[in-house]
This record gives sequence, structure tokens and C-alpha cells, in this order.
Amino acid sequence: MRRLIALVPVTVLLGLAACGGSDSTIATSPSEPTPPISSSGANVASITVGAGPSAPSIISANTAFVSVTICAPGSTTNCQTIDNIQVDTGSAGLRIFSSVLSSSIALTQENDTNGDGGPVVECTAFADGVSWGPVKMANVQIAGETAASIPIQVIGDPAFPTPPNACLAMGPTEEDTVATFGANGLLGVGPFVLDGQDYYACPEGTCSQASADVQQVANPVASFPVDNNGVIVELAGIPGGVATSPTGSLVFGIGTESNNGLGSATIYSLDPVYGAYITVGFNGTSFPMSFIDSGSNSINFVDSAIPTCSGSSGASNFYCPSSTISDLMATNTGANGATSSATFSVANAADLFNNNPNATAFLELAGPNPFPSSFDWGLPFFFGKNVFTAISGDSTPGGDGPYVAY
Amino acid sequence: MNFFTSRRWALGVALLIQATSLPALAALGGDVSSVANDQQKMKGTILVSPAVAYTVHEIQTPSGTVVREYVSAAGKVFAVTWHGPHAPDMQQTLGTYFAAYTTAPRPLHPDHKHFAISEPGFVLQSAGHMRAYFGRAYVPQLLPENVALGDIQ
Repeated sequence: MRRLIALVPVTVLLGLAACGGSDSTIATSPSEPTPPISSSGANVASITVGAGPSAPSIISANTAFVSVTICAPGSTTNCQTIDNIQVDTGSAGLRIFSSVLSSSIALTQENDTNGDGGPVVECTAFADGVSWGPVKMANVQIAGETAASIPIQVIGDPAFPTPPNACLAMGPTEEDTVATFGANGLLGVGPFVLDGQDYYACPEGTCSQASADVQQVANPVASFPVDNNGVIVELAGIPGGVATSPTGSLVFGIGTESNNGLGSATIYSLDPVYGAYITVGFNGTSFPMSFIDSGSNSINFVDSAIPTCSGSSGASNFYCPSSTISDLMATNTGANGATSSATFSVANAADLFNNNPNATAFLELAGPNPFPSSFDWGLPFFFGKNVFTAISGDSTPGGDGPYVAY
Repeated sequence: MNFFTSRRWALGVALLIQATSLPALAALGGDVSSVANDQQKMKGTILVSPAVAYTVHEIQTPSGTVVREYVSAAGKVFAVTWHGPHAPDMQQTLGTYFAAYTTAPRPLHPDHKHFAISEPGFVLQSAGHMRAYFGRAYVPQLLPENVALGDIQ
């Protein structure tokens, strides 16, 4: 209640505030200097914004990948390293596609010990589809960090071929293969620990809602013995706005090592009610359901003045202005009232793809947001920045999560 | 959020009495007086808010997700919206338009936080991430005059 009262005046102000105020301005223009990127340390995994594993059905754009090592629970030798795992600060938990997982890795099936019992299988809902697969226990190693015996989702396991109708009803399609998902797996390192998805118990192939106490798939970072209060996504700037397989780092922990301090970053605390939202002001409008998300591939917002790409362009989910619109400005405000401006540009997405057929990173890729209350800073926002995501309830030198900082 | 919720609750109690005597809701494109039963299927409580050109029927599901159905004066559900921590039952919400939802073309450069359909007779815009889903769908031909798309959310 106290938080909300504090928020209201800020939100009202956002609609009135014009650009050029006294707030600090964070530029995402190609000329921006890049903050240092951590390149070594047991808490540093290498990111590549690469082509992904799913061509020709999906051509990855602005998708950050890391490698993850999956081991049998308790084992350091029965392991497999899998690349092309997408880094997602907008979800929680590790998901791996069954097709890329060697059958020699002896993961342990989670079972529902209450009710009818049976193996636990998860239905994961994304805005563009659902993913179905069992929950298995694994040791998860990323860089030098290990989460011991945590639940992960194995998507597309042939032992559980058919999702319940209630699962299929939540999305337009099943995304149970690498070809339909766009990655070998998804590493959810967002501000929440648990994923809040639907769990079923499936004894003898018949699935019903699992009991409430089954272990949910959870952010692996929270299970690391150290460096477990959040992550930093550190990506180099993109001079010229277009790049092929640029790299960066996924750094574990905030203020826990010499390479993961907050420095001068500003903390924007997140709405803890359910959405982990910030408020964005843009074009005189306040967008209260906004977020900063490495798992979104573009900057998404409503602006009826910018034309959407034609269906025949293959880019109809993006904007296609006749020429690049530069120096747009938006204002980010955290639930703690911290506020700053960020500038960005919107290029013609069809031209970006057509003129740079081998490129995988696009600073000026933007698209219409489906919902008029939301402004989504996707991966373009991360280029040239170190973006911190602190886990809900965890303490850091800058205060408790959930927050983003940059 | 508690502030708004509590205000909505107060209004909801007043309108609930009226709502329970109304026919159950239809899905997108359906007739409000038909025997569709989104509310029962979603096990939700309902709130009805009359506006100038249409009526908003709001279903609060046990998961905390809110589904709103926009009903024209002609009694047709011309738009639906949703927001909340759990993805809604889209099959129930979209009704006969669920088929168009499941067969729409897939983008070449997708992410998992957005999905949109823009066909002459069916528009759907879905977004969000785990524990925060939102979106809307509408039938352009059924939109009452003087309804701004920005009001549908």
C-alpha cells in the first residue's frame, strides 16, 4: 500500500514530463561507450548473440546464448555440455529439449508423492506457445557454479507425448522441438525464483493436476552455494547498429565478487505483486506493465505513427519505418521511484534483415507491443550496458531484490 | 495494487447480484444470450461494468488472472482481454476463433514474449512472461462505432 501511494504521483508525472529534464540519460545509440565486460572468473559464462540452432524454421535475431552442463544428480562425471541455451531474464528455471540430451545422462524423474502419485510433467506457457515435458532432477553447472540436484524441465520427452487439453488451450501451438522453439534450451535467470507454471502428475500416462507441494522448476542461480542473489548480463555495444555473433558475459552474483559490483548503476525496484514490472513513460503516455527482458528480441511499444512491416516481408512482428527514427526517448521508473531516460532508435526491420543476411544482432530492432499498457525493453536495450537482475527476496549491497539496475 | 483491487471488490459486490441473474458469458464473437459458459469453465467471479457503447464483463479467475469480455449493445462479444499471473484458457476465451489462433503463420524471427495475429476478421495481440501474461483479441467487424482500440485493455 505504501509503495503504491508513492508510485501514483510518479506515474502521473510521467505523462507530463518531457524529455530533456534533469534525469540522467542512458543512450543506446551506436556511439555509446561500452562499460567493461567481465571475461574471467568462476562466476562468468560467455554469451554469444548468435544464429541459434533452429534454421531454417527460426532465424534467431537478438537472442543471447550460453552453454550449460547438465549432470546426473550428485555426479560430476555423468555430464553433458549443451550449447545454444537462451539466456532469459524474463523467466525462471532451466529447460532443455529432450532431443539434445544424451540418454546416457541419468537424470532422476520427479514424482508426485501425494494423491495418485506418478511422474511430474510441466506445462509451460509462453505468449507464443506451450512447452510440455517432465520435471527431472539434475546437477546444473554454468561456468564454475553448480546448482546441485535441482528440478529442470525436459521438453519434448517422447515418454510423455501428449499434453492435456488444458495445456494446449493456453497457447497457439506446441513448442516442443528445437526447430519450433529457437534454442536447445532456456535458462530463466529472472527476478523470481519459481516459475509459477502448471504441473501435472501422470501415472500410467493419464495426467491430472499435481499436488501443490511438488517442486517447481526454479531459477538455478538461487540454488548456487555462492553468487546466488542475481545475475548481470553484459553485452558490448554495437557500433553501426548491426553485428554478427557479438559476445558478452553472464555474470553470477551481485556484489559478491570483485567482478560483479553495482558500481554506479541505478537500482529500479520491481513491482513484487506478480509482474515484476517497471513503469515506462513514452510519447506522453505511462506504460505501467513494462519490463526489461533479455528474452525479448526487440523493443516493443505502441506507436500508431510507426508502420508495421508487411506480411510478405517475413518481419511482420516488427516496425518498418520508411527511414530510421532516431533519438526516441523513454523514461524508466522503478517501484522505488528511481527514474532515468533512455534514448533509442527504430530502423526498418525488413531492411535490417535483407541488407544483413548474416547478422544476428540488431540495435535498432523494434516492434509493436501487443498490449497498450506495456513497454518491453528487449535485448537491444542490453547492448553496451551491464544490466543487473536481482532475485526477489535476496539481499545485495544495493538492497533487496527484486530489482533491475544499470 | 491492493488499493485498486479493494475498490474493484466493492464495485464487484454491488454488481455481482445483477450478474448472477444474467446468462453466462459467451466467447469472442459469440452471443451474450447464448449458453456459452466462460465464467463457469474458468471458475471465476464476475463483474459487469456498463459503458456508453458496450458492457464489460470481467471474470476474476482463482489464479488471479482477469479476463474481460466486451459486449456490444447488439449483444455480441466483440473483444476480449486478459492480464494476470497465469495464462488464460484461450480456447474458452476465443471460442470459434481458437482455430484461427492455432493455425496462424509463425514469424521467422520470433521471441517467446510476443505473438500477434492481424487478419481482416480477427486481431490478436498476446505478450508477457512467466507470472505476467496479458493481451487482447477482437473482431474488427463487430467493433461498435466510437469505440477506441485504446479502451480495450
